[in-house]
Amino acid sequence: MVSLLCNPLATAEQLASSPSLSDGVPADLETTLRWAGCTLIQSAGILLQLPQKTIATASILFQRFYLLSSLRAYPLLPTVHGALYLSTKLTEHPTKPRDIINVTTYLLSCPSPSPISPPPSKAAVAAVTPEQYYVSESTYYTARTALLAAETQILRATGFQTAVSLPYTLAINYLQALDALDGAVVRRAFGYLTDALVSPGLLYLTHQPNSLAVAAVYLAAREEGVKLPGGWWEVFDVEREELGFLVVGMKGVTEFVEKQVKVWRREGGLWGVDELEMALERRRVLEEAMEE
Amino acid sequence: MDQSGKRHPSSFQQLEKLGEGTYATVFKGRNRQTGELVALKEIHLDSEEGTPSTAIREISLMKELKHENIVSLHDVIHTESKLMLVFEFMDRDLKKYMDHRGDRGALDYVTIKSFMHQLLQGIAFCHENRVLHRDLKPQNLLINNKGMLKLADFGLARAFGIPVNTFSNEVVTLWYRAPDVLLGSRTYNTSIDIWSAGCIMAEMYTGRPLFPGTTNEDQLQKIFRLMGTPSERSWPGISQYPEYRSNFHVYATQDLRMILPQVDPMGLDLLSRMLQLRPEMRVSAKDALRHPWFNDLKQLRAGLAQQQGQQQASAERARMDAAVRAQQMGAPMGGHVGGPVY
Repeated sequence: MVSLLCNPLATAEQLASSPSLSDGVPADLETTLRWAGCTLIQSAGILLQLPQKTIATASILFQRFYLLSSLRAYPLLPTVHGALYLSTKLTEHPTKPRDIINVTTYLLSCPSPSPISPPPSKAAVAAVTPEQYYVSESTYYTARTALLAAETQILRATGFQTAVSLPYTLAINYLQALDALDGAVVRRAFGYLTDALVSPGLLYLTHQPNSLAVAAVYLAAREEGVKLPGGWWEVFDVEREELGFLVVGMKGVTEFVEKQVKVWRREGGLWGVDELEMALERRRVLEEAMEE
Repeated sequence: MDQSGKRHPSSFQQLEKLGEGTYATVFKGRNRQTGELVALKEIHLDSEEGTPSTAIREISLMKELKHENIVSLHDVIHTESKLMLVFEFMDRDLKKYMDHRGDRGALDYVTIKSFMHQLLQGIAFCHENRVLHRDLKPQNLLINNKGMLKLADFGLARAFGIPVNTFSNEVVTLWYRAPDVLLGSRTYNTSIDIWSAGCIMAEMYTGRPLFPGTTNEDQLQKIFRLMGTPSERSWPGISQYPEYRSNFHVYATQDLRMILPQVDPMGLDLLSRMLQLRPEMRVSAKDALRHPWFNDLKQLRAGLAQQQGQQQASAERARMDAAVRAQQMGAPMGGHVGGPVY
């Protein structure tokens, strides 16, 4: 039933055997590709000045989609575009496909603080010319066609289950209820909630928003030295075991991201079908060489 | 999570056009396999903008809202160029029903009570599930030949603010819009649907819209002329609304009995609870359903069924008589003999 407080969650089978895995994409590579997609969504959303609600919704739609479809059949970049575009419609922040495409092109070709961009060394920044991130009309039309096709694919695969409930406002409500509303705690809790969007454990597909909010508040309050009453999480329907699991998951994101940045730079950006196929071929050759 | 889009539009035979909405065309259709009648809502996918957000909203809500007073969405067929929503077939909307069946648009007492009860049940179900319809009006309430009423056309309104102009520049009707929305509220809630239900109830009695405003200001003025112009005293906080004007024409509150003499006292009591200017004073759908005005609904319906049964029996008798006479006169027996076909 429709509820503002619940999300459809992934089943155990869906998590155990993803369509990409069945399609020959190794699990570690899928993890990296999911991280890259969500990171691009987050960075592009910031440049597009979208609210975090829109960005998080896009990330979750993106994650849901690859629970149902293979990365080999539906390449990464159009899906990122389609998820962002769909999310701007759902959250009433209409954004033009042109703007989305311009921004991701910019992020992928110019050095920026985003881990998805080339590293911002002085030499790299100096070497950038506007031609590198200029999207010509013909490139744009091709990209837009792919974006719209991806939007349709996401709607089709999810059967229009596009409603997304987010934990951000819940975190504020909980802090208010605990009489511990404090700017620093809220900022830190929001940081954890945003980190969790890229977590390898797909936390938003496996836990309801109230649990995510409780875990983020728990970590934020502890780190800001704000004391909360013992066992407070039970009031918000979260058990100690789940809280512990989520706390570990959220704390692990920083290290995970550091590792993924290195992997991604080594792989060299697998945004399209061809790049992914080449990476799979490289791995196959490497494995054969190892066996010999 | 399911996989839709496996079926093809050709599974349905397209019959006559039922209507044209702001973003879709609705046809009557027939399922080629089962013969079942359906309503086909065709939405063209824009080559520049993709799937309209209104359609996305409507589908995602309708897939979840299953209730006998909400029109049911059977299927969604997604092709390259269009999106086809397959809804259960309903004979007509309340507007057309009033025009056809009513006495100059006005309906009879039992029908009004039955429709109001069903309308409130549909609304209550939406509200329980945290869904606001936001666009209730006679054109969005569908009626079938069994006298059932169902809410339709979800998702035409937006999450924040209700659009005055649609893409086709056609003005969305203001007549059923709550005063707090007209005053520019962005924090409206379930009570806006109750206001609309009150306007619809009055319209079923008279056959005419209660507040047929032409512009936002005119709409407010028409409401104030009847309900009285609110002030900071009668509605604390009203001056904070964006569209509030300190120079609103001041009207005294009219007695609803004078405007709607055809409504019984109990009905008027319910109506006045729905048509409260202050949103927080409006009755909830759940409480409205418990109003004593509905106490005799079961009895009235039973009486109506009996009456219809008698009518049907006498029609059947007339048909038989006609057939016998026709036979006596040597005419062939056929489907055209007899009275109206029910």
